[in-house]
Amino acid sequence: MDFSDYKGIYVIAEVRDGKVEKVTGELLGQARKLAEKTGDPVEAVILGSGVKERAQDLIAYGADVVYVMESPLLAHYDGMAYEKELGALLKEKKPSAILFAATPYGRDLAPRIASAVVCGVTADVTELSVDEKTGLIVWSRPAMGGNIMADIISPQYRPQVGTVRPSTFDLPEADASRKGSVVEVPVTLTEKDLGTILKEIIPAPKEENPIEEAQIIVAGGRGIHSEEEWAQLHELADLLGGSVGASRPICELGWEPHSAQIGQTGKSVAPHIYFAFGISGAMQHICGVKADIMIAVNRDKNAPIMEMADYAVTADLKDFLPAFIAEVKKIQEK
Amino acid sequence: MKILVCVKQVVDTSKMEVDPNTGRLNRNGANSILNPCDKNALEAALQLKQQTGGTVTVITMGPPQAGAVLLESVSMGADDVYLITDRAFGGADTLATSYTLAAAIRKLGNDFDLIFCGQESIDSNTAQVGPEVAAMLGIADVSAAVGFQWQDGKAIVTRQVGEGCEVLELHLPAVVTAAPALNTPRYPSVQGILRKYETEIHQLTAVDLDVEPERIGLKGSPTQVRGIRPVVPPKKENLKIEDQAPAEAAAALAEALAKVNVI
Repeated sequence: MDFSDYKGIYVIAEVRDGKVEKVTGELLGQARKLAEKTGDPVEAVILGSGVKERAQDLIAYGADVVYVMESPLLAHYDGMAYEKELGALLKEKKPSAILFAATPYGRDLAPRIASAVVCGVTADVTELSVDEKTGLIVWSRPAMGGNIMADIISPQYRPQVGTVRPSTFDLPEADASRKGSVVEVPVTLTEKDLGTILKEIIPAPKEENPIEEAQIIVAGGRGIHSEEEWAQLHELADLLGGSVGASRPICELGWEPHSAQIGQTGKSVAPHIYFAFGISGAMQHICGVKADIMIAVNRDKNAPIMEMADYAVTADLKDFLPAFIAEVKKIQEK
Repeated sequence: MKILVCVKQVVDTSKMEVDPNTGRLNRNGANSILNPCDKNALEAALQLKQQTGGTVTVITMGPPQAGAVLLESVSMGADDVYLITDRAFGGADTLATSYTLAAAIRKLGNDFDLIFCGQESIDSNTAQVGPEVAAMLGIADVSAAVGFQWQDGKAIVTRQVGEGCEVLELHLPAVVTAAPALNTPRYPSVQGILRKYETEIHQLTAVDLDVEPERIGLKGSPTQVRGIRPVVPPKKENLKIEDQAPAEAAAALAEALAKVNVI
């Protein structure tokens, strides 16, 4: 089949509260990397109300062209309306590939577009590459409960489409001086094209983030000597999107509720990452921990935990914690 | 009210293991089951029927043995069931599946007020079939609903988004895909279990449906699995940092953790 008409790697942008979502920047960064190999331009589409001002942000992240679809009827995501407008544009423009964010919106819109345009979609992609021989995009995703990676291609159909997990790829540096073109696309929607009416938005209750379900646990023990130091564990956990856990003595001091206690008399946890700050590694505690990666920071380099940990740092926590938090912030801001 | 539920028979992946050396799936002991979210979809349909009256029809596409999930649906309370089965449908990805389901829905009269699907299947987790079917039928949909109410003749659906929930009034006809949090599926009733022995599974094959041969099965599937490989766990180091000033130790640890994407 001849697909020479199909050009451009497209990114469907998401804007919330007047700001381009981080994942959209991540997708543009990936689109640029793919485009360098395939020789395609990177094009972005932005739908919404009052979103035109954001076009330059997309150019700064790597878009060469931005299509803007403005309408009050696009202010909130509606599958039917978004499919109608975006589908018509994509049928006309014939992209080679389209990247959607694997958000609640992107996971609904991408398949609707697939039906409208007649193409395939790979869901929840975590790796992207270009097949050297064929120039096809290889969309890789975890499958079968995360035990295997599947590499998906779309050789007989265009566009090639995938939804990409947020926070999988690095956010590229925005270059405000980058130049690109902005194309306003007329929107023909009427009220009748909407499938839903937004009644209300209920903000999520402040999440308790129970440690049994946490992927990242920042835990501390007796090696932490003051409540001020303890508060830094919460700061670090918030930065990393994790939960705070504690050894028994900390809970007995009342610095942390019993629900955060890990070990024989507390909870068993199985996070991906376990930080042990000032925890000696006594069996009563460590029997409740099964982590893929364990990081220990302790003043005593002979503490049993230092042998169990994958990363062991001998340091005084009073000085180490603020320094480490500063480093994490530095890396995250990049 | 005419209500349709789309269900799928899946392999119980929670019972499946991957051989770490070969990357092959070990299916020993893994049963075929009714996809968990599809039970939430059926429950929502049954609750709606209790409120408004009407019928609940359940369809599935799959090999003949997939009829088992239709009978399970009957035991929970479904009124009639259809098995969409044909060798020509084999190897379908989500697009070809949705195309075939949409054709079956048209064959059944295309007069359903609401179509419920599970949000996603546990064996492929794409969450695509619901919205794809909706788009093919040219109707509205809400994906991953965590709330569904029938109030004053209107369908009110709640969907979870980033920082909260959106409450939407949904224009019918429409597709709603059910998240696990939508409800607690009922157990089969004794009456239902008895009824399943009397229930006829209606069959629809390719010739019964108005389908183009190049849009179904493997041929109609744009996505192809080029290959699978075992997941390589992130390469962690066995790193010891000793005898360093706190700031330097902190920087060294942060850098090492950034390398394995912990930060």
